[in-house]
Order: sequence, then structure tokens, then C-alpha cells
Amino acid sequence: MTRISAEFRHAMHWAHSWLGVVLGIIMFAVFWMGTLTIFAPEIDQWMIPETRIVHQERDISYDRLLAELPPEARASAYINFVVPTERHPAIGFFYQGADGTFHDSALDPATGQPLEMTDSLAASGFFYPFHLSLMIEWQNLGNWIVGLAALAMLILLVSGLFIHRKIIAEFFVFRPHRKARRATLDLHNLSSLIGLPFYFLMPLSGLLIFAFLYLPWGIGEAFDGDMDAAYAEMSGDYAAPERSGRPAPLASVDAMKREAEALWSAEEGVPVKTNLVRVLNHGDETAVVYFRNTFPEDRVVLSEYVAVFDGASGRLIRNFSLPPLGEASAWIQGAHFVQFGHWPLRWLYFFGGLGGCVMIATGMLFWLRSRESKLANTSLGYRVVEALTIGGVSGIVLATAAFLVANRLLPSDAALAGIDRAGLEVRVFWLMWLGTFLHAAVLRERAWGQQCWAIAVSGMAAVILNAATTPHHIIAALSGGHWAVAITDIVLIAGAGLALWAGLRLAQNAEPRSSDLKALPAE
Amino acid sequence: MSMVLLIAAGLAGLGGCLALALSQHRHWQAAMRSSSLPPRWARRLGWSLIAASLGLLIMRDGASFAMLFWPLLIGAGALVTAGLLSWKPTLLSPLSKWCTGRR
Repeated sequence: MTRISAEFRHAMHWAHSWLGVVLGIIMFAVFWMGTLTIFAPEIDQWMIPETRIVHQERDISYDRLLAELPPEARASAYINFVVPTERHPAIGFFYQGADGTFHDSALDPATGQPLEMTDSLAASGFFYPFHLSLMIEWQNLGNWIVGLAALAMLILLVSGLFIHRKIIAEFFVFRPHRKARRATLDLHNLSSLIGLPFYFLMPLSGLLIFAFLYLPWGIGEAFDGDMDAAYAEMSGDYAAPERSGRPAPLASVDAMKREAEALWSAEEGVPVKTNLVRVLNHGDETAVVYFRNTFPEDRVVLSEYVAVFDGASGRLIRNFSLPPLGEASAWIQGAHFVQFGHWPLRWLYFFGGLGGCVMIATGMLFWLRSRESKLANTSLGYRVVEALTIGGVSGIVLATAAFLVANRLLPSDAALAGIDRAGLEVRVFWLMWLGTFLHAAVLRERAWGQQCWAIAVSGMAAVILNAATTPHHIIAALSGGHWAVAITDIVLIAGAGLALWAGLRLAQNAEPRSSDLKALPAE
Repeated sequence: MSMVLLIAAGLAGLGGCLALALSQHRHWQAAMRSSSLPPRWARRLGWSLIAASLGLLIMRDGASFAMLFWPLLIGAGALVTAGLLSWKPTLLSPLSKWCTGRR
């Protein structure tokens, strides 16, 4: 092996510490929310109890659903049905009203009637957008910050490999009983190495998914800078013509759906089902019906089958399938979206995500631990990083738990100062998160333990409130086949237990820590 | 069948990590509570088992899934190995003895 020069190692070390300390909280937030998003449909069912439906294979007639549309949706330019699956048992229903606003609801798959749903953004509406934009929508700033954090993460992983002196010799080494600083570094190294390929793939594939946003120029060049045309060519997106104003009946959507699925299945060799049924310009002679299959169950590579029919005649006007050139990037994207039906892999992703959280958290903690000994721990910079680390790690977990508790506690008609119920849940999250930073700034090290206790209490409270406010306590959920609810409860209990254990350990260590501090410089 | 392949792949991955760890002096000596040297073939056995787990996963789900599953599975095996070594390394001594007994 060639020797790495001390200077080079030093430069890598510098980049590793400063990128980590500056972007650590963002990386932790993105990893944490991404980990939760792996189970977003299941958390959605937990948070919106009306959608806790045991899935059955049904022949749903979209002709009937369209015939029974609410009056305000009949002349809509955009009607979208999401075909129910085991993970999304309700029929998703979106439409654009006459005033241009989008209405989002769900239909009972058995009756086709609208479900009276708890007003909540839940995981798909909050955790997921948080994961990709931190909920900062202005000028796509959030996407850019997350992209920067993803890029930083790739640099951190590479520089980390150069800094680590004994990767092979200490690959399996973890010494929890050594001094706190050493144990933290061991855990940082161990959690980094065991998930390394996964930690590389996630930011890389995330950047690739947003390549269109980050690096549009090269792609746009082939289309004379027309980004909409470029996007349509690559994804099979179809823009409907202007409404003519002449009404015309719609041909059978069910027949078109069968034709589209037969076409795709013939091409693929296995049955391919549509995920989306979209009607543009409903009721007009320019109506268009659009079907799409994106997320196959049985493989990683996303498929991109799109079939577009003329609404009035029911004739196929566009049949799009992903060009083979896109296969590699479709694998990478599929690997990030985790929509395939491989449950053991889904769980490994979940634990891989938690491993990433541990890696980032212990990295930030090590930054603090290596500086407290130098008696720099009274400086303003140290105290700021300390508060940001505590709030960024245990704080966001606590805020997430508070979000779930608020979801079960707020009455269905809750509203405050013009903020609706779903908005209030989100406010609870932000206020709690902000609170944890202040708490950490004031209490410093002691805040770790207290926030752990608070996580344990709120996690258990969420489980108890679920049992109190819905018919599906754990036993009922398990025996009734509501796996999503039961597993969410079990993970909450396990998380609360872990937080309790961490709180106890921190309380035990609180006493000897002060003498530890004095002993550290000798290490 | 697919469950059997999954369990076999998991065991091969874990076994591979254990063998690789035991091929290192510090872990071998901690497990055996002796200053003997780890057998030379432990490292080769470890890599073979790790490769075998990839083979089993490809058989089960195809290369496309295996490329994602395998690194995470080996990571889980490494975590269990590191946990065992840090908590009770002597638990591994029967395994080590069995290995040396066969030499």
C-alpha cells in the first residue's frame, strides 16, 4: 500500500471535521426523515386511521367512479386516481378545482365513496418533503441545501476513509467501556464501515434523481433549452390540449386500462398493472386519459410505461416505454425510492438508515468530545455547536414523536389563528424542535438525558393514544390484519425503550463524567 | 425455498464476518484467551463465506436486488460480530476450537 502523506491526511481531516460540523445537522435531518419515509405509507395509515383498510384484490371500475364524481370535479382539467395496493389500500383521488386549487382525498375501495379523513399531512405529506427539501420551498432553496448536504456526505465518506488509520485492523472493534471519546470514535467508525456502500448509494442516487434540477443545462441543450419538452421526452409526460368548450362523453376508461395493461404485459412478459389513472379535460371533446406504471413489485429498476388515449374515441395516441439507455439510472433511482415489494430488503434499508443516523450523530459528538478536553468548552463556538448537535440529534427525534402525539391529541375540528389541523401538527413539530435547541443551549450536556426521557415518554404516549383514540390497539391491529398499525406501534415501543435505556445510561455516567474530564488530557 | 436461501445467505454472511474477525490476532486471542496464532485459512474461509452469501442472494432474487441486499446483509453480520466481540468474545471460542480441531 502506498503511504499517505501526513499533509494529505491533515487536509482530509480538516475537510472532514468542518464539513461535518457545518452540515452535520442537515445530514442527520435528511437521513432521519429518509429513514422514516421508507415506511411512509404505513405511518400514513397510523396517522390517518380512516385509511386503515385491509387490502383485497378488487376490480375497481373507474367508469363508475367518474360517473359518481362530485359536481365540482366534473369539469376538472385534471383528475387523478391512484390505484390501491396493499401498502396504499385506499384509492387516492386528486383533482384540480375550477379555481386552480388541488384537492387531495381518498376513496373507499369497497364503495367508491369519499373517506372522511383525519386532516394530517402524515408521513407522505411531511416526512417525505422534509427529506428532500427540509420543507423550504422558496426558489427550491431546500432542494439545493439537501443537494449540498448530499455532496458533502460523499466527500465526508471518502475523506473519512483516508483519515481512518486502521480500517482493516479495527474493522470489528468496538470498546464501549473505554473513555467516552474513544468509545464515540469506535462507534463512529463501526457504524460508518458497516453501511458504507449504502451511505454512498443514497446521496449519490438522491443527487441523480434531482439531476434535472441541479444540472439542467446539458439535458436542456438537446431540446434547445426547452426543459418541459426535455422532461416530456424522458418521462413520457403528456400535456393536454386546451379545452375546446365543446362537451363530449368519455369512452370507457376501464376498456382503455385493460388495453394499456395488455400492451405493457406483452412487452414485459409478466403482468404489468397501472399505478395511475389520470383524466385530463374531463367532459370536453379534448379529453385525454393517461395511464402509468412506475413502480414494479418484483425488481429494483423503475419501469416507466405510459399509455395515453384519446378520451372521446378511446383510441391509443401515445405508447411510451423507458428507453433502454435509461436502465442504469432507473436502477439507481429505484434503489432510492424503495417502492419494490421486497420486505427483508426494506427492513435492511430501515436499519441502514438508522446506522447512518448513528454515524452522523457520533461524528458530531466526537467533534465535541475532542474539544471539551482542550478547555475550549466555554467558548461561544463550542457552545453553539453543542446546542446544535443536541437539538439536531435527540431534538429532531423528539419533535417527530411530538408530531405523532399531536396527531392523536388534536380534535378533528382543531384550528387556531387560521391554521388548520394539519398545519397545527406541523407547528407542533417546529416548535418542539426549536424548543430542544433552546433547552440544549441552556442545560448543555444534561439536555441529552432529558431529551432521551422525553422521547421515551412521547413514544409510549403515542402508542397509548393510538389505543385510546382508534379501535386498533396493538392486539386488535395484529389480529385484524392491520400490520402497518401494529408494526408502527411496535417500532414506537422499541424506540421508546431504546431512549429510556440511553437516558438511564446518561444519568449513570453523569456523575463520573466530571472526573473523566480532568483525566482526559492525559489520554 | 426462498426463505431457506435467505436464512442460508444470512448465516453465510455472519459466518464470513466471524471468520474474518477471528483471522485477526487481537480477536482470535480474545476469543481463545490464549496467545496462539489464528489459523491461516480463517481469512480465506471468511471471504469464501461472504462470496457464498452473494451467490445465494443472486439465486434468490437476481443480481439487481442482490446488489442492494448483500452489502447491507454483510453490514448487519459485521455489526453482530463486533457486538459479540465487544460483549463476550469467549462465546466464540467453541467456534474457534472447532476450527482448529479440524486442522
